[in-house]
Amino acid sequence: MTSIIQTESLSRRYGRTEAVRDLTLSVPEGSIFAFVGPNGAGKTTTIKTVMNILEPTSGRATVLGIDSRRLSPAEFRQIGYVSENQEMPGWMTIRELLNYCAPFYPTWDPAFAEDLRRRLDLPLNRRIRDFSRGMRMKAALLSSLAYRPKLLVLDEPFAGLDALVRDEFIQGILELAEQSQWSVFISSHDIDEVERLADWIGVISEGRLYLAEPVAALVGRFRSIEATFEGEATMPRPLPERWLAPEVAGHTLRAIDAKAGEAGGEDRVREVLRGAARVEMSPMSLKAIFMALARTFRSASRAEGDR
Amino acid sequence: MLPFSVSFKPGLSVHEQVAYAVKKACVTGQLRPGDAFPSVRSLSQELRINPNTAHKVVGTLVAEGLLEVRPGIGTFVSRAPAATRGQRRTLLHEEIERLVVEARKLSLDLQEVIDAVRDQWERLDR
Amino acid sequence: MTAGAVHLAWKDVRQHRAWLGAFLAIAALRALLIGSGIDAYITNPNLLASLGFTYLLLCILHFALVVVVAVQVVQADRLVGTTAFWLTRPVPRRSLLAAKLATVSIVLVVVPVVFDALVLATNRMAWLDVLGAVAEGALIRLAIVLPVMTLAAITSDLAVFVVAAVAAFFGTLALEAVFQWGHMVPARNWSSAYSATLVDAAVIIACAVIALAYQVFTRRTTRTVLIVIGGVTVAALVANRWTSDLGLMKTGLQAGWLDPSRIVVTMKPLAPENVSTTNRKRPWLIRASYIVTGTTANVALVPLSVTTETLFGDGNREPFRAEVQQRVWDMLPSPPAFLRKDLVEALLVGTHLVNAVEFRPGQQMRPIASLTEEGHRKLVYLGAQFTVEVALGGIAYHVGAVLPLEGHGSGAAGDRRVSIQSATCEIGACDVVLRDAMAGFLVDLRRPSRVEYILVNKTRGQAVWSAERDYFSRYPVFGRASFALLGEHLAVTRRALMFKAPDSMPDMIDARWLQEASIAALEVRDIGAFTVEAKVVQEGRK
Repeated sequence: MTSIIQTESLSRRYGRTEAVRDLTLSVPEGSIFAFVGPNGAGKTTTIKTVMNILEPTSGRATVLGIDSRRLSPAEFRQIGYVSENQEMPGWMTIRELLNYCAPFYPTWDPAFAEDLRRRLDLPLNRRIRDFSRGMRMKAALLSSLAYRPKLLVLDEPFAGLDALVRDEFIQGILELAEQSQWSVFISSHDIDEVERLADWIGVISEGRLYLAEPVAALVGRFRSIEATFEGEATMPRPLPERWLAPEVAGHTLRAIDAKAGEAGGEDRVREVLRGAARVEMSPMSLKAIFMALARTFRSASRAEGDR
Repeated sequence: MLPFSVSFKPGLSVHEQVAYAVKKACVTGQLRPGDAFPSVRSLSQELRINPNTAHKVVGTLVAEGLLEVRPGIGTFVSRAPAATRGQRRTLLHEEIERLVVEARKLSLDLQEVIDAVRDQWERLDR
Repeated sequence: MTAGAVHLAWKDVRQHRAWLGAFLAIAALRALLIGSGIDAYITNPNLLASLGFTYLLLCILHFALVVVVAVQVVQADRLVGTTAFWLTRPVPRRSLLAAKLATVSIVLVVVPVVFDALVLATNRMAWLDVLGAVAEGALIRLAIVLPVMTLAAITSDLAVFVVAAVAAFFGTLALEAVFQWGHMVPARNWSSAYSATLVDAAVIIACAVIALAYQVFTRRTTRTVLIVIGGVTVAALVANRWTSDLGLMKTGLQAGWLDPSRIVVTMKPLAPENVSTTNRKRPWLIRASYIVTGTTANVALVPLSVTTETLFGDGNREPFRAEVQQRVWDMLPSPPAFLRKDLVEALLVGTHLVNAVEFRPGQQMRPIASLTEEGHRKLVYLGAQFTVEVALGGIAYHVGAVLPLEGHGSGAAGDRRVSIQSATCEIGACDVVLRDAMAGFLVDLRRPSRVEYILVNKTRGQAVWSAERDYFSRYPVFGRASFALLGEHLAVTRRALMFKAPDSMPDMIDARWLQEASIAALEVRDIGAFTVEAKVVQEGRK
């Protein structure tokens, strides 16, 4: 499995803050990789460093096999990049934008571009500066898809978009689905939109990579646990490390086990909760998993802050 | 538009849910043998799912004999015999499992469950 | 790369077509205004003043647009920050650099230079001279536009650019002050000052391009700023220390006009016994005179400086240098002291100047060297020898119009149109108001010129220089650029002259005299400087 993006101990510091710390990440070629984390976790910094918009303070990143610092037009011809931070030439119309971009890309497909434009419902002759935010993002997407890039990098593309536009956006991305060896790296602070799309997920918090694995594996191992006790529900001591957000109320204990779905995981849970009358374990949605993780990050950083 | 629908539920794998929906559609007659089956791209686009997953689904269904690929032409629902009772029962498996789990949570016993089911069945007959 | 650069450049042109159009319109208007030479034909002083003001506005707008256009073009594809559109597009850096340079150079430099060339050509300037003039113009324009581009490349928008430009301006002034601290700007003549300007322009251009290229290729703004500071330092250093004359300025000494080798300067110290010795502390003076032989007509020589070296019999040397206080040009307000009579005659066609009053024949030289009594005694008694190096400035005179006092005549004197506006005369004195205009666009590849006026009565063979020069008011109609060569110096000068009868002949000017009198306009042109070495043998030794 080759990596279309690879980082090794990537760090990026702004003044005294380390926005990204020692990040080692592999994005498999051909995957849709969702890069999620709370606001300010370092997603945008990571992407900008990988795209050579910023330089790493230490460590390195490799894109399409080339060190990010040496990315040249040859590689950018195969990369599409959409970010709400990126300026669009507001004075151009869509028609002018497409005519401007086309000569830079030998794989530009005008028919495909036109088809995409219609699907995305973008007018040909209005200036981009008159567009709403959603239309501007769609225009950016259009100008990044029309040449069928091998790698599509999307930095928080859904921020501030209404549901319909978000949906159009996703449809637009999936237009490339038929071509082989096409990868997507998409960052988001909300797991909602990418839940069904992603086959890999990476979670970043406070600049550090928390996990990176296939979605199926992650969803496969997490379980939401609900245990009913005859008497007062009590927390097991010691508390298993792989549990998140354990709470007790009355006769009920609720917890999230990060490894219950693995081989022998359920048995381990039952062992820990042997005092309970009934133990229910159910799989969780990606969103629920992410919410639990996000809460953990927040309480951890609060504890850090308090210290 | 797809000739069948999928209602996604959290926690279950997308692959399984789509495969299930296809099988159900074959059983209910929404998909008939010989019908053209949507392309991977269509599946992916319409359902907003990862194309790899869509691809896997098709692969699974082909392997199970529900779909057949005619090279150069496309993918079609195979002329398979109608589902057996057993197969149809298997399709209900998920719902039944859920029903049983919920009943046990509520500390109902088997007879109460059967009575409730019969009640509901008869209500629909009217 | 060219195709990419053209594509990018064309995008820039389309994006900024309004600004570019405005700029080209202003440049064209300016060229038209200058090239048409209408200022010479306007006599209404208010209209003239308005015209001058309009032109000044145009110049300000022109400059402002140069800056705005250059900044907009460079900042259209921002090189600072992380949000520019091109950062993740396959835009080769060299194409980007080439495109920006090309767009700006072509519109902001080449086009105005072409306009200049057209204006010069329509004013009947020789093509070779035109090329020289526009080459300089291009160089100077680039030396303005390129640093603007570089500064734009390290700032994110026009507002930040303005702040940075102001900071850079004051920073440069501070640097200049540092370089001049305790070290006066070296004396330079026209030619070496001009060389310094052009070398500085070349340095500025080179540094600006290097910094700009560095920023385009690496986007490391902090380091680019360091390069900029380095460049400014070097440029300030050159501006303040460059003294070599690269011989780029045409001196105008043409073959056949003046043959320095034929000039002999003889200095004869007067006998020291003739000098008063009442005050022993008073420095002794050496008076000397020189005779210039072998010059061609219409040329007078004015000493600029005299360096003497006294070589004593015992081997000691004593150098002394005296600057003739004013430069050639500045000497002219008072009548040139070293004008040869026969030359003036030649100018005033056919006139025999018998009594050119106020005209000092070139037999006496101003005191130029003084020694203490001690030194002088040494001279006298030790048999010293003088070596004298005289730097002389050459002035060429051309006869221009000869205008009768009555009738408000006008005519041409060299590149100027002169006309009498009023002449009020009474016994013994005459007040004349003249208008002296340089029409059209004058590129002075030669030295600056002025017009001198003499009140001449040919019948009687008498002439009077004006007693005072009053530059009544000057209407700088088309301003003057600061560059040595491409001086757009159009000026209409109104001069009030007073011609007075000499003290020795107070009744010389009377009604009859005036009827026969006319104003002769001489175009006086500085033709350059050269040095002559002369050996002096002391007379009256022992």
